[in-house]
Order: sequence, then C-alpha cells, then structure tokens
Amino acid sequence: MAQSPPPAKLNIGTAKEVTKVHSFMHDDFPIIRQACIRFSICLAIAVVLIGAAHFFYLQQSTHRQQAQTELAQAQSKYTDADNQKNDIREYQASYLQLTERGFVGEEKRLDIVELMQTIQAKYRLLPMTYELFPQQIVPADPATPTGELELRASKLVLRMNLLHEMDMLNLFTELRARGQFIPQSCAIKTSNVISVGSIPAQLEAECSLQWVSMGRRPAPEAVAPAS
Amino acid sequence: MAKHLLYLTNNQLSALIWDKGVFSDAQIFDNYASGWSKFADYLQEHTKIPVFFLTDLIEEDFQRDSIPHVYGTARKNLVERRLNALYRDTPYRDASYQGRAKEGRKDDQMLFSALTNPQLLKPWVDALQALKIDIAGIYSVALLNSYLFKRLGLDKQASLLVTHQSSGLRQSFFQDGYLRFSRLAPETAWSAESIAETTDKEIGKTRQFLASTRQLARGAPLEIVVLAQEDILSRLRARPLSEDGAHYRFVHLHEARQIFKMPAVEELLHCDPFFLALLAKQNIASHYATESQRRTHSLSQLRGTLNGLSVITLAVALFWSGSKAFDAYDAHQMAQQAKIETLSALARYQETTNSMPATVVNPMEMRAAVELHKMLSNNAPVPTNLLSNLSQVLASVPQIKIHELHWQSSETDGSVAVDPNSVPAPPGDGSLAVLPGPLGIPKRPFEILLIEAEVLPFKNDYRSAVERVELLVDELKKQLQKDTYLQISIVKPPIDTRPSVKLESQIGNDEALAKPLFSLKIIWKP
Repeated sequence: MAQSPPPAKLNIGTAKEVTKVHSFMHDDFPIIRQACIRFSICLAIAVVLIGAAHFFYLQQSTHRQQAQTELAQAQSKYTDADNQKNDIREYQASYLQLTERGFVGEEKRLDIVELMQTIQAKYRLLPMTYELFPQQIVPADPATPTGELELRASKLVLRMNLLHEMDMLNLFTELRARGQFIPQSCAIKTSNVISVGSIPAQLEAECSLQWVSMGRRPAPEAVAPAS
Repeated sequence: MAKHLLYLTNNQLSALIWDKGVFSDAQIFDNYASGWSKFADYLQEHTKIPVFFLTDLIEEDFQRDSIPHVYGTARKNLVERRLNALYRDTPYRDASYQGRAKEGRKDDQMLFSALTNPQLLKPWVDALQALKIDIAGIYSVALLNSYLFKRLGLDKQASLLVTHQSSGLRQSFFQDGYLRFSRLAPETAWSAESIAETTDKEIGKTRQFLASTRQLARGAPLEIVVLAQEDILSRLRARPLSEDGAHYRFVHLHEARQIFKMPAVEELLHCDPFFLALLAKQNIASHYATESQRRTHSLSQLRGTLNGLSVITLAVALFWSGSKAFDAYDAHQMAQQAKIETLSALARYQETTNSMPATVVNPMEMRAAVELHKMLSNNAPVPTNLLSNLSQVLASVPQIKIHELHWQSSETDGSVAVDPNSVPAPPGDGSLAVLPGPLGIPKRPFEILLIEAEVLPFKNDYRSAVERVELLVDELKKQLQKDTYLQISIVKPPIDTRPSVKLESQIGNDEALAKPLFSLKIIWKP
C-alpha cells in the first residue's frame, strides 16, 4: 500500500514580509555626499591657507619689529654721540671757566674769608659778622640730568651796620662777581645803637645768602656708614 | 535662481525653464510610453535645476470637513488619520485650514484634497527620481486658484472662478474667501463659439450642483468671473446669461496679464501661463509632495547651501590669506628698509665717534653745569632792583620815613601753600633745607618786600597821612608795573577806617606821642 505523502506544512504567519527600510546613509546621504566632500576640502584648504598666511605674517612681523628695534637703537646711539659731540663743542669752554671760577668743584672757603676782608677794606664798611653754614645738597630738577654732578648750597648769614644801604648792595655785587651768591632774605632797619667811634651807624642789616656750586657725588662706598 | 516647471494634464506634460524672468519654449511630451521615454532623455540635460511639478487633472477630489481644534502632534495625527480615511490609495494629498466653525465647539474647518489617480504622475515622477532630480514641490492648479482669487480682488461673497485651461474648463468655487471645490471639464470644443457654449453649459451645471448640494441656494448672489480669450468672452457676452443672483465679470487674458505683471512676449491662448508664472515668481509651499520628496528637496537645499558655503569659505580664506600675505610682504619690505637704515645709522655713529674731540668730563655733565649756571644767572633774585626803585619813589614822596625793610625771595607769592612733601629733609645742624625755588630754579622767584614806615610831619592830620600813603602806593605801582607781576597791599594803614574793625586814636595829648605808622607789602616778580 502506497503511503500517502505527508501533508505539506502550512506556513501561515511565518512568511516574512519584505519591506524596504529607509536608510539615511543609503538613500539620502548620496544626495549631499559630494557637497559634503567638497565643503570639507574647501574647509581644509581654507584652514591651511589661513594658517600658513598667518604664520608667514607673524614671522615677517617679528622680523620687522626686530629690525625696527635695532634701527631705533642705532639711531639712538648716533643721536647720543652727535649730542655729545655738540655738547663738547658748545659747553666745554664754558665748563672750564666755571671750574676756574669755583662754580664746579669743592668750595674754597678760605678764598671767601679773604674776599670778605678785601670787600670790607675796599668799601670801608663798618665791622660785620658772618656765618657760613655747612654745605647742603639742593634737589635739582629731575628733567635736567646732571650725571655725577650734584647741586650744592651753603648758607651765608651776614650781620652788619651800614652807613648807607648801598654798602650792602655793593657787598652783594662783589660777592656775585666771585661766585653764585644768591640773596634769599634781608632785614634792614634804622639803627638805634650808639655809633662806633666817630662813625655814626645809620642802618642795621641781617642778610641771608646761598652760595651755590656743583660738585661730584661721592662714591657709594664713601657715603656708606662705616660698619 | 532658475526653476524647472512641469505642467501635467491628463493628456500631456509641458516642460519650461524659468530663468531671469523669462520662460523658455515649452517642450511637450505625450502621456504615453513614447512621451515618457522622450521626457527621460530630455531630463538628462536638466538634472541640476529643481523641478516644480504643476498638475491640472480631472482626478482631483475635495472634501470639506471639520476636526477638533487641537494643536501640535495631536493635530498632525488627527489630520493624517482623516487623510488616510479619505484617500488611502494615493500619496498625493493635502489638508488646508479654512477658519473655525462659528457654532458648536468651534471646530477647525479643513479642506482635504488629493490627486486620486497617482498612476498619472508615476511615470514622470519615476523619471525624475531615477536621475535624483530635486522635486521642489507638486502643485495643483485648483489650489493655486486661491492666489488668482486674491489677485482678482474678489471679496468674501460666493464666487465662481472659471478659467480656460489647455486641459479644459476649470471652475473653482469660493465661499467666505476659501476654496470649496474645483472641477475640470475636459476640452471638447475647439471654436470660440462652441467653447462659449460649453462654458455656459458647464456654469449652469455647477450652479445646479451648488443648489442640489445646498452649498448655495437658488437665486443667491454669485460672482462668476470668467478668464478666457477675448473671442470667447465676446461670444459669452452675446449669450443670454442673466440668471437670478448671478453677476458675470469677464476678464480677458491680456487684462489678466497686466494683473499678473507678466511680460507681453507671447500670445496667450489659455490661463496656464498665469499659474506657471505664480509658481515661478513666488515661493509657494508644495501641495502634494510626499514625505520622501520633501526630504529629498530638503537635502537638495542643504546640498546647495553646502556648495554655497564651500565657495564662501574658499573666497573668505583667499581674501584673508591674501590680505595677510600682503601685510607680510609689507612687513618684509619695512624690515629690509629698517636694516638698510640701521647700517647707515651705525656708519654715521662710527664716523661721529671717530671725530669726537677730547673731553675732560662727561659732556652731559658739562651741559648740566653750564645750563644750571646760566639759569641761576638769569633767574637769581637781586634785591638791588627793587630797593633802587623804592629809593626813586621815596624821593618823590619825601614825607615818608622808612623804619624797617624786610626783603625775601620766595617760590610763591604767598597765595599757594608749599607742598610739604616737596620740601627736602633738613640737615642735622638745625638749619632749614635748601629749596631750589627761591634760588631761581627752574624759574625766577617772587621778591617780597615788607616796609614799615611813618608819615612825617604828622600834626594829627590823619587824612593827609592816609593820602600820602596812597600816593606812595600809586607811585610804586607806576614805577614797578612794567611787564612784571606786581601786588602792593597796605598791611597796616596809618589809621584803620574800615567799618568792620575797631578804630583807636587820641586827641589833645602831646602830638609827639601820636605816630602814623603804617606797613606795606610788595610782591614783585620782574
């Protein structure tokens, strides 16, 4: 007896539906792929171009700054040298004269003592007293460079009886001719003292002057306190 | 930007290029296999221009319905469900909002429409998609009628817009300013007379349809606007059209051309060019594009943007790098110039150094010493001048007898206080520190002279004494005030007559006891 063939399987519910699944990379991206590649290439070229140009510019800019700094230094050196040359021509003779007159250098106080005696004898002035105070440093204008020199002044106080106020003015003129004696204050009053000898005193005066000069700054070790 | 316009009817497809305000000649393709094949060949040369696909088909359906008034995703889903229910078999469907119901829960009124036979579009759309051509939108002449309605200035009353198209006679019914439906009757007549007759009949059918569907009552007012050739319109005018409520307005195509501001470059036979011109000139949202076509169009736009950005990026980079390269070249030239000038300056420096005369000290110190000496010589105060002037004045006023003189040099005239910080520390011997100002550094100081004197003879004549002192002051001013700073003040008058102070004097005593003493202060800067 022939066997009947087995019944065929019913594939109800097992058949797979073939549905097209939408894929961005497969369906959509091809539309913009070339544009994306083109944009990426352009972006890369732009970055390289800008970077290279900027680097090149920075390099050249540094060279320029360096060259300009060197130029400024060279010009400054030349200007300084030229100024020094002109200063020597213009000021050396005057400077030597000032040195001779005692404006530059150490004070020669003995000369002043002798000068006072000479003036007193020349104008037959009444007896007078004077005091020369210790020398002080005058703060100079910082806008005027003085190098190693400094401005100094010694206060000179004069007390005297006068026959006439011109005696005092003549004394000032004589002092001025020998140095930078700059009057600072003067008090003159009619005298109430008994005349000395046969010469009647008319006026009493007390004047203060500054004897100004310039001297070289002491070396740092010289001014440092001995310890 | 150029636009590729396709105009599809039931019989054929016309293709035109709109560029710089001008239409190219239309290419006609039959709606058969041969036409599709020719269209595919034609497209090979026009793959870069986006396509605007305008349909004028009989198979277009309109359904007016209301949906609940909701927003966002809920509304989108609701509309989608309704479209699926109405037009399941076509992807070309649309829903447009037409206001809200005036009664009930005030639902949104919507017009649902669709191209009910997608097979008519398929061969053309397939050809476009095969070449990945960007379909910017699929449009319907019926829905574009809304723009025509506005251009013709029709108001909200019931209107029937009748346009003579190449595909036939299209009638679009508007109510409350919104399109209610549109119907295309295919062209069956060719002479002006027969077209006019057909038009008359078709309008009659539409009016009957409106009445039977109760969209418009019989005899209700209806504005009927017919756009057609003048030949057709003249024959229409000759026909007995007067019906209850109907008001005809005939617009011939040349008049419509002016309304649409179209150039008169070709003779108009139908209304098709107006709709094409609308699409070409305006950016109108697609009516029937599928989701896939919209996505493709967005990506095409993105592609255009990326291409534009590429060009801009490259242009900006070239410009910027060019500018920097120019700056770099400029810097290089300046550096070279500076190097040449440096060598020149060094050569001059060397030459100057070689020719430098011998010197005893630093030139700067020489300059400082000489300049300071010159400054002191010019600016140092000299009491001789002031005292000499005083002597001359006293000679002219002999009644004044001086008792005391106090002269001093001062940096200020006394009105400005000296800054204590600028005063150097005094030396240790008790004397005051020396200030440069009274010495004449950097400018000439003030000279202050205090005079204490008496008026003689007096004889108790205060008036005369006061006058003498005033005379002295006047004479001093005349003598001293010559291009100089001068200030003379009476510190103490012979008798103080100011009302604000106490006045003291005596009468009847010995005249010798009464002394008209006074003091003056002179501040002078020659």
